[in-house]
Amino acid sequence: MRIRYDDAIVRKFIFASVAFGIVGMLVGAIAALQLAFPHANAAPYLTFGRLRPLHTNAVIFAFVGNMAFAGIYYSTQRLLKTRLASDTLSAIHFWGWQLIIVAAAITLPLGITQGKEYAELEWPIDIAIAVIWVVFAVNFFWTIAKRREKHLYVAIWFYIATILAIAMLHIVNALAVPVSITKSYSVFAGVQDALVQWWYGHNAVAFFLTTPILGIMYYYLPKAAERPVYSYRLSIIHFWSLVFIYIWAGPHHLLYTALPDWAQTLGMIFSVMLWAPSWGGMLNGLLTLRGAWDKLRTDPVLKFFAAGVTFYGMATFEGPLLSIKSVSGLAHYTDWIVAHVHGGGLGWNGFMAAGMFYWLVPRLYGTELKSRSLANFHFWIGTLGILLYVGSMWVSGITQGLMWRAENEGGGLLYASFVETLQAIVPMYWMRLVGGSLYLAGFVLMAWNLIATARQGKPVDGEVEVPVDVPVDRKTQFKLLVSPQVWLSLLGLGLVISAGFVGPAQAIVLLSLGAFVLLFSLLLFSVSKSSSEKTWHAKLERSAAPFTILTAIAVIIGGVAEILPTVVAAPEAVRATTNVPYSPLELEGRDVYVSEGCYNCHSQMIRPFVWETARYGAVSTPDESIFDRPFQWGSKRTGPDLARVGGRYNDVWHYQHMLDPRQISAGSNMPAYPHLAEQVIDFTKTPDKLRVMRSLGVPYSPEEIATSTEDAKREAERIARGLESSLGIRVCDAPAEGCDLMVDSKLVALISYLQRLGRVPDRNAAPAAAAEQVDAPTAEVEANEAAAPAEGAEAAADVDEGEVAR
Amino acid sequence: MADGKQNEQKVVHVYDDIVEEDNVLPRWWLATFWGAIVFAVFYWIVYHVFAVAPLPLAAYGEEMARRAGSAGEVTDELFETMAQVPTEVEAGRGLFQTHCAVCHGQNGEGLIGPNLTDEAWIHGGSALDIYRTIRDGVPSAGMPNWGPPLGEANTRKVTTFVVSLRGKNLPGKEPQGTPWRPGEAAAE
Repeated sequence: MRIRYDDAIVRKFIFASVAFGIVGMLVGAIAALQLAFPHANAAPYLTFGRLRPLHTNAVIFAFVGNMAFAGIYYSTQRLLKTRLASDTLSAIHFWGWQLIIVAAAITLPLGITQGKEYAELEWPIDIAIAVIWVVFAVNFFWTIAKRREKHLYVAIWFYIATILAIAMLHIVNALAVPVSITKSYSVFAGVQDALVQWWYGHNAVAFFLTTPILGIMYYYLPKAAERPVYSYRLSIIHFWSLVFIYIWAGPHHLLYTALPDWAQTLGMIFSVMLWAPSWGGMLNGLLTLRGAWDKLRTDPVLKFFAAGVTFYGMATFEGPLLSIKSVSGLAHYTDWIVAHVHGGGLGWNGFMAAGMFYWLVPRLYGTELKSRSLANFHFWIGTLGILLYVGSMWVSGITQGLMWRAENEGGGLLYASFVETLQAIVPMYWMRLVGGSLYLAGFVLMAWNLIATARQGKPVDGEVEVPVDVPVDRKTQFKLLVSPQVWLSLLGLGLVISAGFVGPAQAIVLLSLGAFVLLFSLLLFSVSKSSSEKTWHAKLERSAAPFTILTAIAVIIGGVAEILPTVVAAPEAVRATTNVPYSPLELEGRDVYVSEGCYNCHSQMIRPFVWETARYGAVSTPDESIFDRPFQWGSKRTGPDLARVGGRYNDVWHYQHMLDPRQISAGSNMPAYPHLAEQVIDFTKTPDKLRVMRSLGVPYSPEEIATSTEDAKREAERIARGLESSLGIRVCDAPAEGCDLMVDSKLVALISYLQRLGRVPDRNAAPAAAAEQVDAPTAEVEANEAAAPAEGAEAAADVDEGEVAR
Repeated sequence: MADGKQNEQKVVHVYDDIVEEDNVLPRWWLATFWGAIVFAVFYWIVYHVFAVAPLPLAAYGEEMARRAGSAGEVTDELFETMAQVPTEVEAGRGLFQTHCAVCHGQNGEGLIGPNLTDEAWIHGGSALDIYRTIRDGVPSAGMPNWGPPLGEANTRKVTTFVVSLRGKNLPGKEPQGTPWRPGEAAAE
């Protein structure tokens, strides 16, 4: 029987990927320019805080996403010797995904966001993503069910892991309760939210940017090199260890934070254990090129693949290194992390994509590549671009990290002003822009080359002769799942994990016992290999359902073990807290902070380092973010930490700083936000927000909710009038000519929120002093100071003057 | 890279013309694989089972305790004396221009913050008053607490410089606060 593959869908995904890739990288270049040259924050919709999520979402989900779908659909049909199960589902998948991207491109600049990195899209789009992902999954597994090649090749294993893990990660992390069509609050708060978010964030890298591309590597690299894949057994070991270990490593984004120590340590040690499994993939790629290295000189496809896999090796060595606590202490919040992700993003994802496109497009159009020399040129400027980009960000990150911790001879900070540490790296920001632009230019050349290639040929769909029917043996499948290897492995893992919950002596016993059981099950796996019969794993490769179930188990274990304990502990923590929920105006201000994407540049998490508490105040506690939905700990300090900015400056300072940051802090690269003084908040919607918060367990009383509109207005009035009397600006209740500030403006609410950060108000006349940090080294405001609203500079000066006169 | 001699070069599968061999795993790779697992278990045992090494917060506490109470006492006289020493004043000037000039002007003539060269002082004009204002800040007036970021030694240098400014009466912001005359004690 002769079948025809659905290659039209592959062509569609490729051109979507190329187009969105260029857009996403262009947005990245603009964001890079904004950091070096803040006046490039030209419009309220295009400030860095809004563009950066657009950049990350576009390159991850639009560029790499579409590329992965193209690569998966092309290779899956050929590896399974069947056409994709449903043309309709393929079409829904394609158009649905593009609609989601368009929705993202509209909502993110509008400031509609959930405020969690790489998961910014609001709940209606999140639901759409889940639906389209399920469509993809159904199409894929249905294709597997229809397959004529019973044995599943390693590429398919990685695709299976991708589909399962992303579904799980996306759905759990996106859980939120809507306030309106454009606003929701996360069901997780504070520490929990941080843990769930970085479980998601890290594994989005793992299962969106790594596993599908590894699968693609396993198909396209041997195809292009025309060499055998190096090692089957290596692919087994690195597949299972990768999918099992990756999921645990998320907390390495939260080292030295308020996350419980046990979770931090798990994040670190699992990241270290991830090094070899990752390099297993790199080795299988590079060693497959044995005997083909001479082809690299002429073939751009192999150049891109070889460099891509090498960058993968580099990034997956750097990742575990950065996860070691003391290294994280230096690198976290700096551009080193930016260097790391771009080494992976530009080097691994971008180059694997380019190699795959240059290989696929000529075949999909029955022709030769239009210009091989242009593709080679693309490779060289792309590589130069990556080296400039990554090199400059390494220098920038390490420089700034060292400056933050540098001490003067008196034990204080050598660079006490944050701006000094920013000024030192601005030249690196320009260099990064050059590198990124070169890389982008390479992609533009590629787009031209691919389009010209398509034009000189015409669409061709692959065809193949296949056997009519392949009988499926369903009896062995269940037996595979209950074989001793499987349950012994699970038992061993259970013993090792339970060692974390008991005292020292029992832990040692459980660890040893677990290790013994695991080794024994490994022995069983390898013993069966030596018999004449097919190995257990070879049988598993022929049984898609058990394979999928075991992959799901491997992927779920880590998440459950890490997240469940904090979820269980959350209600008790809320009962025991000394913290007080945000006032209605503070909550509105916080939503402005989230919407503007302030978290892209400001952390709210002070780590236990002498040099860090000297700069920002006492170490942050889990209690302080217990009502934060979403948490806003941040992951990058382009500006200073804000966890204790409340009360550090007065309202006048904040007002002037938001209007023009450089007037107050010369050399700052923060965007100016004068528009926030005019944009108003509809406080009649405030009760809805409090009601949703209450439904999530935040202790707002019904009375507080009922009066929240008036409360917010009164508080805004007080702050605005204070600014009016201090600065002589014109404050208005309703839009009018010549207004400097609206009372119910976003700016007033934002100031209210900023002044709250790090301070627990004395709202119930309860012992508020107890809530203050007693072990605070220095930077504390007094407890009663915290309760007193900050006033205008002149007004405060007058009061002090009066007191002195007395 | 790998040990060519040991490789079995055995073909196990062929998929869509992709040939899959089954070469042995490089030894160094196996060593990193198992080594990392052993390290992980060891690290967990050291920090979480026997807790023989301090976790981050505890390590921070130890460091803070070690540093506590090492600087000498501050007095009015100390600053008045230092303010007469040009090298001390110059040391403070650099810090002042880096951190304070944004609000108080390059020479202390005042901008958003008050003029420091006149005789009027809002939070007291004695050397110790100035020292405390710099160190602890006046949050309600927008003056940050510079003690922690500058460190004790530099806080003293800046204080010395500001003390040296008193009475220079540079043209700038109009006087604020109450007049202070030499010899007056710290306004407690």
